[in-house]
Amino acid sequence: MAKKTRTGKQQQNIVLSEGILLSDSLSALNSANKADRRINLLVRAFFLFAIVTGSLGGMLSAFHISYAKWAFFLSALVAALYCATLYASVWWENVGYTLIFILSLYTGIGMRVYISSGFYGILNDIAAAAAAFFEAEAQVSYAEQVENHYLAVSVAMCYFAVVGCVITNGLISRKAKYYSAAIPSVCFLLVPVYLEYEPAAGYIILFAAGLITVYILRQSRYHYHRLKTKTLQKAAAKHIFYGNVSAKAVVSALLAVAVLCSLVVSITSFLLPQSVYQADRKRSSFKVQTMDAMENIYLLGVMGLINFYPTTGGLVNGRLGGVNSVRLDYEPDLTLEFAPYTYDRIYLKTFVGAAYVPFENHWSIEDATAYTEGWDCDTALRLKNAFWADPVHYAKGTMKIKNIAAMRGVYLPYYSEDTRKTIVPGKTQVYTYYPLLAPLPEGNAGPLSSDLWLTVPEENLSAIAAFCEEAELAGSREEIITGLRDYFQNEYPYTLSPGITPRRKDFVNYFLAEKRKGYCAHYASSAVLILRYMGIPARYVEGYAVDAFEVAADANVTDLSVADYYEGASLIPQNAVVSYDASDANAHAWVEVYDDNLGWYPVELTPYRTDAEEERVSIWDMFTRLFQTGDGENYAGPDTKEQPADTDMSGAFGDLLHRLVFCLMIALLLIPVWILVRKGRRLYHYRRADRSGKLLMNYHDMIRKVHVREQAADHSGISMASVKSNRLKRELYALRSFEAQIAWLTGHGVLSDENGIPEKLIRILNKAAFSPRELSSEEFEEACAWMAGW
Amino acid sequence: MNVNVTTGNPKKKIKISALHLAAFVLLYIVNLLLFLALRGYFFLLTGMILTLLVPCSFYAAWRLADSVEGTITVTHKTVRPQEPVCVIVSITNRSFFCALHSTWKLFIGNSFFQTEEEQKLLLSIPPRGTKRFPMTVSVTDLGRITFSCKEYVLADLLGIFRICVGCSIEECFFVLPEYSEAPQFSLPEAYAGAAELTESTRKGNDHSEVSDIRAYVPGDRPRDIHWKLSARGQELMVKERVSLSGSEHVLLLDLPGDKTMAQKLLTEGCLQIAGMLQARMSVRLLVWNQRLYTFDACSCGDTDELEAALCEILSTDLSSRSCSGLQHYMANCYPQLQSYLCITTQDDTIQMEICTNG
Repeated sequence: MAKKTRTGKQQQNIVLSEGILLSDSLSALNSANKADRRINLLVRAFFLFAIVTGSLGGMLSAFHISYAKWAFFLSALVAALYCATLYASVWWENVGYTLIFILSLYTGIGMRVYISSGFYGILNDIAAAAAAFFEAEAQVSYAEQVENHYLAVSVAMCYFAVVGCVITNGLISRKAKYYSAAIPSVCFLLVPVYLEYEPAAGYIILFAAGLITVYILRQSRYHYHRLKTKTLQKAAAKHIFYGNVSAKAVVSALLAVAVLCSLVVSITSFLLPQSVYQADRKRSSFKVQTMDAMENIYLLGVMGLINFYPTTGGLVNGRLGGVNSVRLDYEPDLTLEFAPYTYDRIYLKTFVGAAYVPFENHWSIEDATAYTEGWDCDTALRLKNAFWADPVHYAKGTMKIKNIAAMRGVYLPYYSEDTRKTIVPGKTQVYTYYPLLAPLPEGNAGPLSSDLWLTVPEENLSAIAAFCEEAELAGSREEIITGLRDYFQNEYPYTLSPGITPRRKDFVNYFLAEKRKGYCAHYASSAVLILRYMGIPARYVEGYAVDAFEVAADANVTDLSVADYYEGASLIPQNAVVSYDASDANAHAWVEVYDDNLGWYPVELTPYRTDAEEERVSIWDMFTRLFQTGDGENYAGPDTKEQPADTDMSGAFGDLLHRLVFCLMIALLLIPVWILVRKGRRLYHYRRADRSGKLLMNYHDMIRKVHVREQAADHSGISMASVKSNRLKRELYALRSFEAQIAWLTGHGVLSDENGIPEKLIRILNKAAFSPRELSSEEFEEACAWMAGW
Repeated sequence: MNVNVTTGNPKKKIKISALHLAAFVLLYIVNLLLFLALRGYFFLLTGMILTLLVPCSFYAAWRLADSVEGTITVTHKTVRPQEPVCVIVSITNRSFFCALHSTWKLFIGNSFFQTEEEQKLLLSIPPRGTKRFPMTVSVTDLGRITFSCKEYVLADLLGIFRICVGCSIEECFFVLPEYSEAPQFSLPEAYAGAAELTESTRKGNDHSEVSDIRAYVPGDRPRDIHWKLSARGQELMVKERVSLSGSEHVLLLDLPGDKTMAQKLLTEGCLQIAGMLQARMSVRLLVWNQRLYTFDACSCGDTDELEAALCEILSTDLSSRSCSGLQHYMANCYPQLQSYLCITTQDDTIQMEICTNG
């Protein structure tokens, strides 16, 4: 009844009917002859080839990127054939995968210059197409190390074809997981399709034919190259027997699908050519709605999606703490048309925060009184009067502001009475302002009517007190402000990636006491509370800040008359009216301090950005740098033999160490994930298994965990239990049949030999493993109870 | 869950697999949504391919169903218990269409013991060719082993449509008892001559039995004419008789209803007959047939005839072969017999005894 298989495992004959046994092993029924197997493997190689070349080649063909296509196809074909043969036998699968992995790694490292350069070249081409589609003024650009774009892209594509085949092979050849292969492949093609570039027809045929045939294989339950004996046994228990797949049938199906795809593509292309379709195509509402977001992703990367809410340079009307990393798009938000008059920073105020709400982390205008005070125009009125009285020492300016993509609001220059002039996106407003270029004429602004500007929330008191003590802030108003500015500059480095403020933590306290780094919103918020604590009325302001050097570098000089835009005193010569695009890089938060004479005036307490901050890199950058040999901009091409003379070996060693640590950390992170996945899989299979399956799984677990007690003491008297136990365990694992294992366990005292338990257990285990009928619940519980006693 | 749609052709039935349909519809919807969202030419083409794929796939399966023919063959018609025999299910496709998934519902059983189990074979069908699925089976019980297929289901390439086609394919083989090591048989003295009957021409003393009924040919004895049957039909029918006289020894197999005992009895009986054949004795084997309500008689002059007789015995199910009070029926059916040999069970043992008729 039972017979030994090649692997030494005992196999019970399958019962076809009462008294009628199937003598063949199930795998023998399922196995095909050699010619059929070869053809099947070749067909699977074609699937790989079609899907990989269809998706990768299709994407590049859409963007009209030129590269050596013959090399790409050849390498994909060779890789696909190689990958498909990996399933010819088990040993070759292991060896072959190791070989291709080593080869890929070796080639990847050896050709990293070309590969990274080719990859960046492709990205640049796609970025150019995206910039044209989005009509973006900015374009993402990566430094290509190899000057020969064609060569670099060709090499990169060959490499990607090989890697793509290896990755796809695991999904296609083994289990025909068409959906796993389809998702990344379609994603490759989604990029050009979104940007209204279409892949060439040939690639569409390849891709569709490959993927549909894999789908057909999967639906026909021939997704496995060779069904596992366990699967066949399970099927046999349900009275189902699998014959081997006919290679001729698969080839026919593939040909039929390929012919259908070719016909459909040809006929459609004839009736509705691609060019005609593209000319008549209208953008869908989905595309219109998502274009901004997509453009944002294109310019900012995926990190832009992590932020909790849309921001302008990390600032959103006093809401704090929700920005993980400020990603700047450098797109114009406002267009300013004005006559430059000072070397100082020009501020445009759009939000004033009066009360800080701790733990909710935002600034607010509490009531109408505070709002009026926040937007007071008393100083502007005094300066206006001064200008009319003395146009030589005072001045009047006009600033025309067009809202391109900024939020709806007032963008008020210092000092202006136009506090009601709100600009909605797409509209323009003209603001008249009176800059403070000379001391204000005599006249007191008067004391503040509200204590609001000196209020510090109780929740922040301790953190601020500790900070003031640490920073040793004391003295006059000017001394405190200077001391605070210096302390921030020295002890609280500026960063655009401060991280999100954790839940249940206060933004200011967290910044001052724990994080100790941030961007303008952090400094301005903290500084306002610190100044209030020190008795100086202060408030939080957001808006745009434009430096004179930025204007000098980036502004366009217009033909407009200066006289129409500026009158009176000026700190710089009045030559022209300029037009300057303020982007989110100009978005800023600052502090306004109240002076009894001046009224509210801006104070800058945000430290300057340091070089270290400029070097900030993303994880992706860190990864891609592994494949770079040097700075892309300084790289002179692959022919350059010269290396920097002052190569620092300790630096190289440190770099290597960093990489090793990085890899180690990744590995350490992967281990628990791997364990969780294994446990999850086990649980999943256990829940789906019938009683027989569950018993066998329990048995294997128990065998693995069994503790072998050493009976005999060694001669030296030193306990050798652990060493011995490992050896014994190995001995146990080597036993292949239940009879031998149970006998071994009984012999070593793990299982008691009472009441004929071992024989019963063997019978039940054999039934669970080999019988098509499921175990009864009594048998299952009985066996589990015996095993629990081990 | 399947949706049944019966076509005009009673032999073909279309089923729709809801699961596969849902998978394809999901794929189709995803493609449609992508097309609506992006308005890409690529998704227009893939959508058209997917749209045309369904009718094309169905048409191929429909045409294939007309051109597929299945056969079952066995390598040996008679085998011994545990002896392997190869059963080959062959599917011949005369068309250029193919299927990667077809289900053949096989009913495998032992008609003697009236056991049957349904098994399913999943096979792919290549275009213009024959697909063979050989299985080696071994049987532990005696009997007539049948492999039959009453329906096969062809799935289209996408797996959405299942075309069920009725068919009638059957093949069988017999598992006969092992008798190569038969013991030497010696006829009990008491029995010697008892079974050797003398034929009498006197009416009412006929020692022959009717073996067949055939049309009258000139020269037949009038007494052999089957008057009742002739009266119903247009021509004269005569009863062909086989003589029970001469050197033939009558052996009655009294098969019990129990499966194990019946097998033992058959094996023992076979050994005895083989021993008798070795002793150059001719045997007339009698086994009860409940369906015809008479005994089936088989002459066993040699081993070939013995095997043929066994095959005939095993062709009818055991429940129709076993009967209590066979002696009474023997007396009625064969009144001329003085005595006969009978192999029967008594207290779970098999024994051969000499029975006096009547």
